[in-house]
Order: sequence, then C-alpha cells, then structure tokens
Amino acid sequence: MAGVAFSLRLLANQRNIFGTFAAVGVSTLLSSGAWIFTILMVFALTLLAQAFLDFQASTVFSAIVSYNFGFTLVLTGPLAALLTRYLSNKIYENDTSSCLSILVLSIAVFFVLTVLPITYFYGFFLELNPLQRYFAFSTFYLVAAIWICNVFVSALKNYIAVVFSFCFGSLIAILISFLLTPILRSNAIYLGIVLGLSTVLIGLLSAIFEEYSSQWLKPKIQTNNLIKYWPLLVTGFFYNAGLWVDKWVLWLMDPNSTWVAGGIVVLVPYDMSMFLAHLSIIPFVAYFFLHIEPKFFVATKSFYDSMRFKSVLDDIDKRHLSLLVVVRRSLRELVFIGFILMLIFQFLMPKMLILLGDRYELLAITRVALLGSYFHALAFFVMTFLNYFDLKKHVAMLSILFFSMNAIMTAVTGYLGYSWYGYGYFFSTLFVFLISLVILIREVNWLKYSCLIGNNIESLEVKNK
Amino acid sequence: MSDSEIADVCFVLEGTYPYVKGGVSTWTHRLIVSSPDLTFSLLCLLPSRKVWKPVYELPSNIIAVKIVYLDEIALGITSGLRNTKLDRQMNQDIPNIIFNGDIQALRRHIKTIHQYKLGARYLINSKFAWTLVEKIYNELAEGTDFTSFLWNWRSILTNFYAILTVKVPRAKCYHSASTGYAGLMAANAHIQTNRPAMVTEHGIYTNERRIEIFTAEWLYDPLAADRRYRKKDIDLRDIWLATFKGYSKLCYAACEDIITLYDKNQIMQRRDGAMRHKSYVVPNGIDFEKFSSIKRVKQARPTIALIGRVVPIKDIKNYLRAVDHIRCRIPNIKAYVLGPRDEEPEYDAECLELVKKLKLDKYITFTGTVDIVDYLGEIDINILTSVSEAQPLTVLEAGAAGVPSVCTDVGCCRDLVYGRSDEVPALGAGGAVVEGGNAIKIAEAVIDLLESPEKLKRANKVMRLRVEKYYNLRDVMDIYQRLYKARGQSLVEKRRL
Repeated sequence: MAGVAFSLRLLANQRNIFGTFAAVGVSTLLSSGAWIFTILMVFALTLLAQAFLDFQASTVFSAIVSYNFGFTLVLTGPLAALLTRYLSNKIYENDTSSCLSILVLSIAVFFVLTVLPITYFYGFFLELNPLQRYFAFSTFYLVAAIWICNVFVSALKNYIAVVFSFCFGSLIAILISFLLTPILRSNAIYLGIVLGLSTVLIGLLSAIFEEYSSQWLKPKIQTNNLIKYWPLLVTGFFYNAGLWVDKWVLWLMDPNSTWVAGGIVVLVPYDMSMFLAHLSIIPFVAYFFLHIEPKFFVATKSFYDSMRFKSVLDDIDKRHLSLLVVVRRSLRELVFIGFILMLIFQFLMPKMLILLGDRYELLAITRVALLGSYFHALAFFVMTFLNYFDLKKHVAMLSILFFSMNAIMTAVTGYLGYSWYGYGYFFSTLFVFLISLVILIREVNWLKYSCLIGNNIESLEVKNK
Repeated sequence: MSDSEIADVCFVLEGTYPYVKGGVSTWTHRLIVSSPDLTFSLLCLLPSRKVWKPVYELPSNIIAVKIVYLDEIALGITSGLRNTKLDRQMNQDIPNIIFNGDIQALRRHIKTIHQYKLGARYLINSKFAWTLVEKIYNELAEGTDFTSFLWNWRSILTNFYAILTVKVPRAKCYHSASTGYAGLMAANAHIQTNRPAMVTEHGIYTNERRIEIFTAEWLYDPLAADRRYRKKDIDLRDIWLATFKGYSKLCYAACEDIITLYDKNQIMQRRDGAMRHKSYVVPNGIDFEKFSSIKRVKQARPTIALIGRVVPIKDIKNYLRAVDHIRCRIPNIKAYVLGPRDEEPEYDAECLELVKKLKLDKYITFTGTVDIVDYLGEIDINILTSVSEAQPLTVLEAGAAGVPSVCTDVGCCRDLVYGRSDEVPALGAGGAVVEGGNAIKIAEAVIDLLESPEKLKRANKVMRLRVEKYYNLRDVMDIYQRLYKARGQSLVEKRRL
C-alpha cells in the first residue's frame, strides 16, 4: 500500500482541490475499501431507496443492503486475508502468473460454499417478491466478488481505473434507477443497483486482468500454508464480524427493532447513527495512508533490510531506534489529528442530522459513536503497524477481543436501555485500542527477535523433535 | 538388546563406528570383539536423521545402541522460566561452558535442564536465548555480520543441547573415542551418572576441525575483510574453534583417563587443557599373527597401494600425482586405491577425472571396500598421503605383513617408520617419511625403494619387527580390559550437583 501512497502524495501535492480530493478518495478506497465502501454504499443506497420506494419497501431494501454488505464482508474476510498474503508473496517472488486463476477460483469457491444457504434464505425463507429475491441474491454475490477483487485492487498500478469503476458504477446505479422509473416505477432502483454494482465489478475485473498475466496456471495451494496462516483467517473473520456485531446484538435485543420480510431484523436509528459516525473515519484513514504509512514504511523497510543484508548489530540497532521514533511520533500525530477530526464531526453532526431530514433523535447515539469511531480508527492503525511487523497472532487475538468486547458491551448496553446505546461500541474500541497499544509498545522493543526468530518459530520448531 | 541392562562400558562415538568405516571404527570394533567377557553399549552421535546402516557386524556383547542426532533437540516444556536469578546464572554459565570449558558450570546447567525439562523452546528460541546471543555477539564478535553470527550460534547451541538434553544410557564407565561432541557427551554422561569416563584421542579433534573450519567457504565473512568495522580480530571460524576447544577442556576435566596413541599428541592435549596426571599413551595395536601370516606373492609388476577412504583428508589426488611421476621412471607400475568410495561422491568423481586427465587408467585401480588381507601379499609399498593422521592402522597392518610404507609427515608416522627415540635397539627405517603435499617427494621415495631391492627387503624386516614388538593388539587390549574393570568397579564420590 505504501507504494501507491507515494504516488498519491504527488497527487495531493498538486496544490489544487481536485488533487487533494482525488488523493483522499483514492487512498481511502484502496486502503480500507471494504469497510469504508460498506459504510458509504449502505448509507447512500438507503437514502436513494427513500427517494424511490415507500416506507415498507425502502425498509426491506435497506435491510437487504445492510445484510448483504455486512455478511459478505464477514464471510469473505478470511478468504480476503489469505488472498492478500498469497498476492504479496507472489509479488515479492516476482511471479504473479497464478494470480488470475486464484482470483477466479476464490470467487467460485465462495459461490459454491454459500449458494445453498443463500438460495434458501432469499429464495424460500424470506417473504419477498420475485424482484426483491433477484435483487437480494444478485447483490450478495456482486458485493462478495467486489470484496474479493478488492484484494487485487490495492496492488494495481492503474488506480485511476479503479476509481473510475467505482464512480461510473455509482453513476450507472443512479441514472438507470431514474431512467427506468417511468417503466418499472419504484422497482427501477433494484435493477439500477444491480447494474451499478455489475459495472463496478466489471471495471475492477478489467483492470485486474489487464495488470496481471493472462496465463491460466493452476495455483499451488498447500494445505500446510492454510494451517500456518490460521491467524489471518481468524483476523479476517473476527475483525469484520466485530464491525457488525454491535448491530446484530441490538437488532435482536431491542424491542423496537423492525422485522421485515418475515425473517430479517434491523434497528434503523442505531444503524444510521453508527454509519454516520463511521463517516468521520474517512478523512482520518486517508491521513494515515497518505502521511503516516509512507514514513513508517520507509523506516520499517530500512530496519528489515539491515536484517536481510549483512549488517553489524550496531547498524541494526540504529535503524531499530529510528523505527521506534517513527512509531512514537506517528502515534502522537494520529491521536492529535484524530481528536481534532472527531471534534469537528461532533460540531458538524447536528447540522448533518438536520440535512438528513431532522433526524435529531440520532444525535445522542451518534455523539458516543463518534468517540467509538475515533478509538476504533486508532486501534486499526495500531493493528496495521503490528501487521507490518508480521505479528499476526497478536492481531488475531486483538480481532477476537474486538469482536467479543463489542458483542458483550453492546449486550450490556442493550440491557441497560436506549440511552446507553453506542457506549458498548465506544468502551470496546477504547479497550481494544489500549490493549493494542500495550502490545505494540512491548513488541516493538523485541522486533529483532520477532523478525528473525519469534515470527518463524513454527518452521524452526519443525526441525526439532 | 535391552536398554535396561547396565553395560560394563558405554562407547561414545561421533560419526564413526558402527556406521562409517575407518581407523577409529576398526579400533573400536577390535576392542569390543577382543573383550567378550565385557558388555558394551554404543552411544552414537550422528549429524542428521537418515537411514544409517551399520557397516560392521555387531558382536553379541553389544547390548544396546542409542543414536543421538546432532541437529535434533526436544522442544521442551516451557519458553520462559520466570526466574530472573536462574536466567542470570545461565546467562553467565552458557558462554563459560562453551568457550572456557567450565565443568562446574556444566554441572549446574545439566541439572537445570533436566529439572525444568528445558528444550529448544527455551534454550534456543526464547527471548532469553536472544539476549544471550546479543551478549555474546557484543563480547566476542562485535563488528561481524550479525545474522551470520546468529545462525552459527544457533547451530552451535543445537548441537550442544542435542547432547545435553539426552538422558544417557547407564553404564559402569564411559569411553569416548574423541573429544569434540563425543567428549562433551562423555562429560554429560559422567555428570548425569557419576560414573567414570575416559577418552582415547586418535587424532587431535581441534586440529582436525581447524583444517575443516578454515577451508569452509560458508564461514567466510566478508565484513571481516573490512577492518574498519572489526574491533576485535575474531570471526566465525574463531568462534567455532573456541567452541571445540571448550568441549575438549570439558572432556578432559570430566575424564579420569586421557589416553592418546603417541606422545606428540600429548603436547597438543595439554595445550587444550588436559591434566598431566591423567594423561598417558596407549598406542594402536593390530592382530600381528593374522597379518604376519599373509604370504608374499611376487608380482610381475611392481605394486603400490594407498589403503584408505576416498576423502580429502587422505589426499588421494596427491597420490595420483605421485603415481604419474613414478610411471615416468617405472613404466610398468601398478597402483591401487583400496578403500570405500561412497563417503564423499563429489571428491571421488574429482579423483576419477584426475585419473583421466593424467591418463593413468592403465596404472590405477580403485577397488572400493575390500579386505586388505587379500591384497597385502602382492603390495610392495604402502603409501600414505594423508593431510592428517594419528597412528594409522594401515601402516601397522602393512608393516606386520612385511610391507614398508612411504608416508607424509603426519601424526606419529615418523615413529612408526623410523622408530621412537626410545626404541632399543634402534631397528632402522621401515620405509620413508616425506613432507606432506609434495607428490614429487613421495614419488622419489617410492622409486628409491623400488629401485633398491636390498633396501626394500631391509625395510620389510624392520617394519615386521617393530610392529610385533610395540604395536601388538594383544598387549593393547590387555591394557584397556584392565582399565575397564578397574573403572567399572570404582566408586565415584557423589558430588552435589
């Protein structure tokens, strides 16, 4: 990612508003695309649905969109984590000949594993009309395929093509929805969204196919690698599940949850508040990937190069110290910048709620959720640092902690009542951030050990009895 | 064979009997075979796990064989002791054991290892082990490539703990055939069981390792060449050598008897820390009756032979170059290489290529493993071109069969060929000793003998007499058997560990 960030910095340094916004947009999409894209799309589509559908239909629509974006993110999470490692290994080996095959295989495997339950759920279990069933089924797999393609997207040099795909796809969704309204009436939005997402997917696939070798080689999948990379599977699942678990808990606990289509439940005020709060993360994440990560990448690379190439311990220690300084300064900067951004959003939030149709009742939850998002982003950045240091077991543990804490604390607040909603998310993200910070501070001092021994213990121990 | 029986003697062997043919293996086998009223167990140290087939038929008085692979160590239970005092003690003890041969530190360490069931997790892969790496690097190897040092240090520790974590088989006494890893194991056995240990050094281990270490390309450290970085004049090779010296010192400290084959070796042993009061000489012996009864058969062509494994230390290539010179003066010369060829296939291939290059196909025959009894009767001169030897059995066996030897000046070849300084009466020359690595000198000595039948006949007689008087297996075996019985019965005062 840092490689693209260096290019984006040039874009941002163009000293015009286009360059700045383009850099912010691209870096956000490429770096944390799945999460932010989920927030943006769910939010945008919910607003769009309200323009085209009656209250009942728009609630069903929003629920299906939330479910599809949320559950595909969670279910593709482990696969995406493994694919990310596979791709980075192949790029390092300078041999991406099997990457297209693995992409297609991954999408196929996901389809095969989920087609029966999804067909039953949307096809038979829920009370939906045929168009809604088609919409639900299609968007589930389109979004899942987009998440899988997102892994390859971050390594693409032609990031402009990626941005174009998302923008053009969104435009298609809106245009088709409006153009087909006279013919299909309120159902035009379903087709519009499907076509829009299809456009995004085709755009991404074209960019990927253009970038990678056109060879179709059977990818070598070693099952012992799957076992070796189990922390990635755990992280992929639990981190993404942790993003949604607070909503799932309250959907089930709150007496005012809305049950639609005979089987799915949503809690619109809470969901809306959380999505709004998560929007505040966008500029924060963009700042991290544009300004912090490149410096961090350079310092980390310098340190690891000293271990790879012949160096005396003195030199390794100097680079280690430089890296510690960069980590310390980065954390200080992020805490400060994030706090300022969070305050700005706290100030702007009442006005945003008025613009959304006088949704002032969401303010209480949103204010707390903004605090939670601040610490959530900080925890995410710390976990990114830990990933750089290949401390995958620690990241896996933090993901499980995030999921568990968010679930438990939200359940407690669910029991305490509406006025406590949002605090579960806030306390869990605060706790996870503090724990991740302690781990980072402890482990960063043992980096030489982790790099050469600690992270390779399984393979070293295989040689022992 | 039963592991629960206590053997009279446990032989500690490194890369030798019963899996590799050679002088030490043959000596060990003869010792065991000639002591049928004693029971033996073998504690064999091998480099790595693969299919190792014994190349000797094991006598029935070997009651147990235990193999220890030097690249394998149990994982152990814990990755951290949470005992800062113990960590600090071990931090001091480990380098003292390895580099200074501190036997008291070794006692403490073995006790700790077995008490806490420590293994690779703690001793090699833990953060404690890491702090030790940095400490030793800063003390000994500062200025050298750190990652190379790390992996070498881990190799040293793996071998070290592969030995120390072993629960040794019980025996009345332990006899190591070398210092080095076997010597460390003997020290370990003595500490664990409180039974006596002894060592018989054929070649001096540290000398032999020095040659290997200084020719090992993988130990070359390019940073060492840049003296701006090096604050100490030390590199990885010195670290390995210091390790082996440390093991020798531990072995000498633990053993009650420090035996070698000839007195010149004792000088080197004392240099490496052997105590004078424990040291003595027991030479090699051979079955004189067997070899002296070999009938000499006059051959149509003058015949020479090198009896030994086709390995670099035997310097077969120099022998081939010597044959090349000899054939210019003696065109009908016949030359043998009598010995196994499978130990170093690459070197064997290089020798065959040299034969082709020098066009020696009609002169040289590589026989592979043979019974030299079948060949000694037709050989006129035994050639030894080794880079390093102790007391080569081949010279003694050939001598007993009435075959003089032309040797490089290694080990005690001078004593064997010309007689010891205390030989009374002085018997004279049983061949010739020349400087090592000089094919022309070897060739000249051989030609000199072959062209002087009287000289050759006198050398035959001298060698036969010398071997009978000083190197008879019967006498040598008697010494060891008395030693085993005495040590086996001795009570070693229990030391508090």
